[in-house]
Amino acid sequence: MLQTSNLSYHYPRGEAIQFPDIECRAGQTHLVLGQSGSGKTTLLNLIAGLLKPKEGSVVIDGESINQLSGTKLDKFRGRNIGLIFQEPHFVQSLTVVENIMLAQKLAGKKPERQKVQELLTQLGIAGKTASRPAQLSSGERQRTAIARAIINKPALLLADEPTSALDDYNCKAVVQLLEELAEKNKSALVVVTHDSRLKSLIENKTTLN
Amino acid sequence: MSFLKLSLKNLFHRPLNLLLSLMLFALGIGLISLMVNVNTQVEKQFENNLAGIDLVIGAKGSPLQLVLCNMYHVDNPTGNISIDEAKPFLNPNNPLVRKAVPLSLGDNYRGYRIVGTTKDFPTLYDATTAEGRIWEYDFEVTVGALVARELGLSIGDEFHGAHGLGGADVHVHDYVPPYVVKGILEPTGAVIDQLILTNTASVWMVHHDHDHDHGHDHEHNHDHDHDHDHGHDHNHDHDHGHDHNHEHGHSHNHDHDHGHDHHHEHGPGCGHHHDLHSAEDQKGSNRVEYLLDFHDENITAILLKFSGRNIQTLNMARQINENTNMMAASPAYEINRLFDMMGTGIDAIGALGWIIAIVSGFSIFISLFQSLNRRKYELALIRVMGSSRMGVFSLVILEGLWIAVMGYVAGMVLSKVGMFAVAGMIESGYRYAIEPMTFMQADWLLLGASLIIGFVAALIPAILAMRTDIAKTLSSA
Repeated sequence: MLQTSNLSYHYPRGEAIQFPDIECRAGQTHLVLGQSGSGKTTLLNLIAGLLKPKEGSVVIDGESINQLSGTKLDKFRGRNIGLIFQEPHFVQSLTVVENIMLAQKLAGKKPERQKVQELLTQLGIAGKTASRPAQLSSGERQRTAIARAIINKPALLLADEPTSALDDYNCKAVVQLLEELAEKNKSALVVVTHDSRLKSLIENKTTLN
Repeated sequence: MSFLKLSLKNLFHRPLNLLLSLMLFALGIGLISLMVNVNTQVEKQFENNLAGIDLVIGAKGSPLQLVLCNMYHVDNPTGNISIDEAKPFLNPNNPLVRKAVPLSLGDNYRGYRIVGTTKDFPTLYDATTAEGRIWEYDFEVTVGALVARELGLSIGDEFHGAHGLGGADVHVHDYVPPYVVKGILEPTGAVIDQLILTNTASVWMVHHDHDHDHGHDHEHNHDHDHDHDHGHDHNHDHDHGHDHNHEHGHSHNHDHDHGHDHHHEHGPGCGHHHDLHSAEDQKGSNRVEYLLDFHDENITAILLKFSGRNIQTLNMARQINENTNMMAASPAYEINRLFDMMGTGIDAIGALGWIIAIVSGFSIFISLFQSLNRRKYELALIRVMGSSRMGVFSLVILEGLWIAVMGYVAGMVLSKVGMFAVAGMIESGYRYAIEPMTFMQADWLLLGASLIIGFVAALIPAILAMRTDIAKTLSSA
């Protein structure tokens, strides 16, 4: 589902960085570990098509995203990549359910309130559908962000530091939840983190230096 | 969740910012619209009432006042002119004059002017009767549509005029016969709608009887004496002690025993004609020729239409002003002068409106610009979720356009409320009916201008939103 090969990036300041190849199949999980400054966020941006690599390619679901440009890439990202950020952001003027329906809409799919509702129930935040993002606790916000990332059943689920702010118990719970959702939706799950607790939880891993 | 809806929700998410932008926008647009509407309506009223009149002749004074008084009925007369002096212009045989309409002002009924004139007057405004007929005999009136509507007058109604040209009914002329409504005119949209029309003689009679202490010379009647042999001997015994004893065949008992306390008793069927001309004698009293037989009477003004344009008509005004006790004024010229004066004020308020509208454009700009900083993650997120650069561009532009549309609608409401107020003021002050709910072409143009302001105000924030570097924004979290 995800295959990167020979990826390298040139920072605007001139520094170049080379990344090891990563492969992750549908329903599988891959961990990318690295300390701060190791370039893991850059790698995540390259995989998500938010940055253009100097060389190499990112292939998602058989599509080489480096060949896509502009609007097509945006559309592809919306449909096929679910992104979970360390600090979840939302459209503040919309409710939880509307935020997730917006993800459906922007991916070019039909917004389905019923489907969103089911997913929120599954994630244990069914009672928060009509709340504004600002009214949620941090745990609820993260679940909402996960719901938004998964709603379109993306080929690739990219999580950036999803656990670094959590205690051991919740750390494990979140990883389990993500794996469960990825498996269920046949998504390739790539977790990018410096959180070494995940080493023992996820089998496939790449470590950046 | 379309961007149309999302942009609206974004605006309502910060209601105070929205309110400020909207208030400014609405105030600006409202002021502009109000000024354009008032100006157009007033101008239209003035132009409607020009009625092809080339010259107004009246007593010397302010020419603008002469025109305002006699054509628009909003100012007091400059004075009176003698019928003898007016006659050359009233005479239908004058080759320079196509139409000459005499006006005699001085009285009102509940604020509506009673105008003594000829039946040419309604033709100036293409006014036809909706009901009844044009006045023919003394004390018959034909009323304008607005008068009939506002005062609830119908055919056969009787009333007494009051001295003056409006306002409080200080002195009611109840010692003469009442006016009888004989006809109601179709609405014309012109000044005639608000007038009560009668023949000139009736206005004269009302005022002669009013001036009891001035040695009443009813000579004008006697000019017609060759016709007067119908039992009316017009025996006015004005003995200056106010002891009138008229014997007209009917018994009119004038008990003027003290001062101006006029007791006048009209028995039913008394015919109301205590010192009037006989019915026979009144024939043609609504025609201009009728007036040519009178002397020592006054009228207020003449409205003149030239038979053509030539050197003589061109010089007529100057001739009158230089060689007579009368004054001639060109309505078109005077009204243009008035608009020039008024236009400055209207332009100033209109300019103020534009300034406010532009300031409101800046307020939209600043508001969007600030919100952009707050929302850069949101916008990056929207991109990540699949929106193109054009998508976020249009989202921000739509917010600007929404404010413009909402501000425009609120501004129109303000403008129309203002129009109702202005129309009320004009109607109570001048009796002119202004249509407050018109939607003019200028209002549509203002919608266009509003959208442009909204678009331009949102343009820079929208471009910045479009250029947001998603990776950088999201990494900096």
